[in-house]
Amino acid sequence: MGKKTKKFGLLRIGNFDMPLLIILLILLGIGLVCLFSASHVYASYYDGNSYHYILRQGIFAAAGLVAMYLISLVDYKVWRKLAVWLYGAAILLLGIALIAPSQNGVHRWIGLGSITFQPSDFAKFALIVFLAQVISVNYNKMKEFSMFIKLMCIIGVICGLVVIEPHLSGTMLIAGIGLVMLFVGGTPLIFLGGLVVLAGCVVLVMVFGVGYEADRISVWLDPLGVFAADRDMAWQTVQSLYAIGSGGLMGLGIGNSRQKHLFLPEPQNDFIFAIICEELGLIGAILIIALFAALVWRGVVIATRAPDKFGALLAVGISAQIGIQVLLNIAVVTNTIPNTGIGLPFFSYGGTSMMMLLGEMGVLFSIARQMKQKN
Amino acid sequence: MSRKNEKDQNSVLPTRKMRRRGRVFAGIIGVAFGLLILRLGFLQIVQGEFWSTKAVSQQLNDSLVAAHRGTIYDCNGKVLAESMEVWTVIMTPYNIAQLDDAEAVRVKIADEVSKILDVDRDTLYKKTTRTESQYEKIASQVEYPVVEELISWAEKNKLSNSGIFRVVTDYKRTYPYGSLASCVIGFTGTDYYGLYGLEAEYNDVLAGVAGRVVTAQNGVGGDMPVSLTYEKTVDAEDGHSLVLTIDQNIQHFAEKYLEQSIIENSVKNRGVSIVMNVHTGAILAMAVKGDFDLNDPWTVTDPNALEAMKLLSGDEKSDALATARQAQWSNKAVSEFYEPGSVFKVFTSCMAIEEGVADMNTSFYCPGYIEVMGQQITCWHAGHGMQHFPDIISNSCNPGFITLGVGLGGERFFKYFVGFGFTEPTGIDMLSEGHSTTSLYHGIDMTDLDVATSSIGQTFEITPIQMATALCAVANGGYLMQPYVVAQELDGNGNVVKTTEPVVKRQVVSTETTKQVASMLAAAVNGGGSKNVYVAGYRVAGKSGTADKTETRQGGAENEVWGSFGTFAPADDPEIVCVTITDTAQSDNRWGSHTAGPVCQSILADTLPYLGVEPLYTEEELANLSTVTPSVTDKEVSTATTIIANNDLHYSIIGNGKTVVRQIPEAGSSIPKDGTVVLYTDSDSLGSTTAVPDFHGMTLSQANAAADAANLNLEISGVGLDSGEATVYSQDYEVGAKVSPGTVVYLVFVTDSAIA
Repeated sequence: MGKKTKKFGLLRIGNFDMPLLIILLILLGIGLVCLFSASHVYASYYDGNSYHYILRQGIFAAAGLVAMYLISLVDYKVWRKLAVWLYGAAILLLGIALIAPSQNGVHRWIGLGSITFQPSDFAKFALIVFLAQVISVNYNKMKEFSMFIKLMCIIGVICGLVVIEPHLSGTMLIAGIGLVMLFVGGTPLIFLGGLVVLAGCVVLVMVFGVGYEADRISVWLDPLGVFAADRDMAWQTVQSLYAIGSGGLMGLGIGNSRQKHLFLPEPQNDFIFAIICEELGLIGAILIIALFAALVWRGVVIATRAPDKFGALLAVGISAQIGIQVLLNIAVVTNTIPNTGIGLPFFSYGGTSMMMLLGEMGVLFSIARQMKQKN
Repeated sequence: MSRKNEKDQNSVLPTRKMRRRGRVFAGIIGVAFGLLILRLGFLQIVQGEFWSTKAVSQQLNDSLVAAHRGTIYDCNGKVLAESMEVWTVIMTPYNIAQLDDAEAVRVKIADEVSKILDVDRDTLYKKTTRTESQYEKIASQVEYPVVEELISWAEKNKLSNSGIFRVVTDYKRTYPYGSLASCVIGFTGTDYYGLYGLEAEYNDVLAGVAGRVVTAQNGVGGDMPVSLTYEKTVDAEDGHSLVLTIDQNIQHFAEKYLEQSIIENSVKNRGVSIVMNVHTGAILAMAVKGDFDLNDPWTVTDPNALEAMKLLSGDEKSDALATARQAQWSNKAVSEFYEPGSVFKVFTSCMAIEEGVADMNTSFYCPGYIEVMGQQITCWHAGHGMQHFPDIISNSCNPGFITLGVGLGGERFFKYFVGFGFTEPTGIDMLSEGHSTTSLYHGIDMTDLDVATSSIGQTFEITPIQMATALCAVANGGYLMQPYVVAQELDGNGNVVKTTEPVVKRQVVSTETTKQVASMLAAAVNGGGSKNVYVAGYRVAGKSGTADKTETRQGGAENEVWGSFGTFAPADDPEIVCVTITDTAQSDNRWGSHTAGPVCQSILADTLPYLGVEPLYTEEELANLSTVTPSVTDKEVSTATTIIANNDLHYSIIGNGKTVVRQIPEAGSSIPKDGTVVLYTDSDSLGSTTAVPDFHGMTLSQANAAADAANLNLEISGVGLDSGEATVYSQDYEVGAKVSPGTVVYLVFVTDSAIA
């Protein structure tokens, strides 16, 4: 084995996993078109330039694709060696974000001149790599409770740092990724079941006992009632529902959203999917969800055929990140769960997110290059 | 543990368990996505209509375009109420914010536009700072010159094309004659919705249908891009105009004389005069005094109410204010009830003749009272003795009419009571006509005592319009008409879309009966008890009435009465009915013959010639007729005096010139026979004046002497002039007014003899 595989070796150029590449490029393409459609009115009104968001997002996407390609050439096993460093760097960056001056009352970003960087995006990837490393090395001890506690601590530290930013949706996403990796990594179901029950109890106590985020909960339960009493509080949720409902089966046609005309706030961000539903209808929405499902499915296929446990867990983690994030985003936009504020991968405006996601796709491609053919 | 599992665990390859759990994870994601799709389907398909309707309603700006409210004309096309075009000024502060020198413009607008539009500067400035707003209403009911001024201001300051101001057409309701026919016409609220009178009754006809402009708007109230522009315009449909049966001139006569009586007799609760066409039931005038200014309807005009309110505060004051407003707005002529008293004897007479209970030769004896069912009912007079039918009318003899009533009996009396329309609304096209209910009158099962009191117009109440309508039936040969005030409806282009046809409800009594009653009524006017409504040249039929309020449903203090008079003329071929009612006169003489009679007399005297009814003078009247002054201006004094003498007139010369430079009265003026023409012979004399004396209460000879002393001419009308009993009731020039010598002063005489 040592002869065949070079340490830190580069893989062959070409030989991309075509299903994954096609799905990704379609999603990315639709994502950019939708971002432009959703953002140009808002951009023109508030920034004086219709192309403000699409231009930046386009640059990030292009840079991200280059990064993805380069990363895909790197043997994914390199991340094994870096795992502990990545994890340490993630904790460090999250710590810096907490110390750094707040923006809009939250400590989510680190500013480097005019560029801002969101450490939680980086932390997701770092956690995925570190968990994959720890689980694959200790796979035989996965049934032990002490191992479970150890892994919980690894996840818990990151979650703790993100939740005090505060960044609830980010925390939920990170916890979700950790949960999926523990599940696939072989943690006994009794542990996970207990964990889920415990988490559920904590949430219930927080919401109904402590009254945590009572406003968001009341908007979630009765958006129109709250809207009638306090327009601002329920504005975003109600405008999102107006947009989705206006789309119907076929939608108003690309570019024809009315709700993006300064009704739905920041349509280029977390609620971009509402504008998509308005313009492309239920048909378009199903298509996009199906593409995401295909992306997740392909990620899982790559995981199952990965040459080692580390690669499999890495692929699962990346797939989980995309799957859970899509799930949370659409659930929020449709008011299925309370509004937490989480972007839609490859669609919502955001440089760090786009770069990180495409970088992770690069890792996935790297694993795919070495996957075993189905016999 | 099986060997296979052990091998799995020890290999670097993903174990089968990992692969299985990976697929389970993918499956869970798939199921979750599926649930989200169901959720989307629910929102977009099942609830799609619900959400999209709400979305559309916020995306569309629906603005109303005011419709032009119809005009109200009198029967000659004079405008009584009209809507004038005015403008609402709207500002778009958002567009100010787009300017480079936004703050300077804001200050300039606040400083200068506030003056042009006459609005508060600071309020206006505050509105200019609402930078997100596209719509701030800054002035309404602005008239055109102000709009022009605003436009030129914008041009001067190069702001014409910046989209800061725009004006929207609106309408303002105005009433050119102010208080004229105020209770009839009524008025509109701030939204131009009719609140009272015809404005309310005919609101749907007058209002028209507002148009709409629906446009797409974005989340901050701005315009949607051209590709999404949506504009739907529904033109406003202008309201129809009304042509009334009311004649502004006759209305003016009625109001003028009614108001005079209200003042002279200190009438407490307003008065009513109605003039009606007997053939059609068309209302020619409907006067209610004291009234209010239609252009300022919320201001209370009743001085008593204002005085009382001064002593109140808080809720009590606002309640009193509301009550006083309601009181001045209510149309007393159709909404309020009164007891007719002796005027009702006109109808008792009709019933008796129609049923053969009595004829013109039937005789009655009045000992000053009559007993019915053991109750003694007194006459207003100590005892009229032996009388024939015409005498009981002239004397307004209660026992005489009670005899007729008892002779008719309750059943027959009630048949005609219903027949003349006293138990039903007249159906006049006016708001809130009073509805007679059985609590207001005795039913068919009335006792003889009830018939007795009813036959002299007591113990029941009716509305003034019911009285006028019933009198029309007596005047026109027995036909009860449905009164109306709107003659025609015109569309926006002036085309007649609806004409009111007179409605005959029924014939109540025969024409023969009415002719006999009319002639008896006319006789009572011509030298009899109703002489206060005598008009030279016309045979007037009339009956006075005075009803004590004390015992009535409405109640009243000691000596509080309704005084009324019902007339129609000419008696032998009637054209118009004139009814006047005064509610609670506080003067010494409160009889209807005194408080209401002269009002009817003056109205008839002005209205009959105005309507072109030819006068027929008796020889006696001809002798008192006035003549016309000849033209002598610019003639030699000697020639002038000859001409005047030839015309059986006197002359008086002022100044020392040789030619007449001016004459008073002027050539072609009406002057009494034996009058004096004053000739001015030089310009120095022109300025001389004389003061009008106070003629009130003077007899004819006293008045003539006073006029001679003041070098004035007199024109006289009224009754009882020969008897020497008549005294001056009113004069057209104010006491002490400075007028040129020779001016004709018009005096109305009445006899002071009281009559029920």
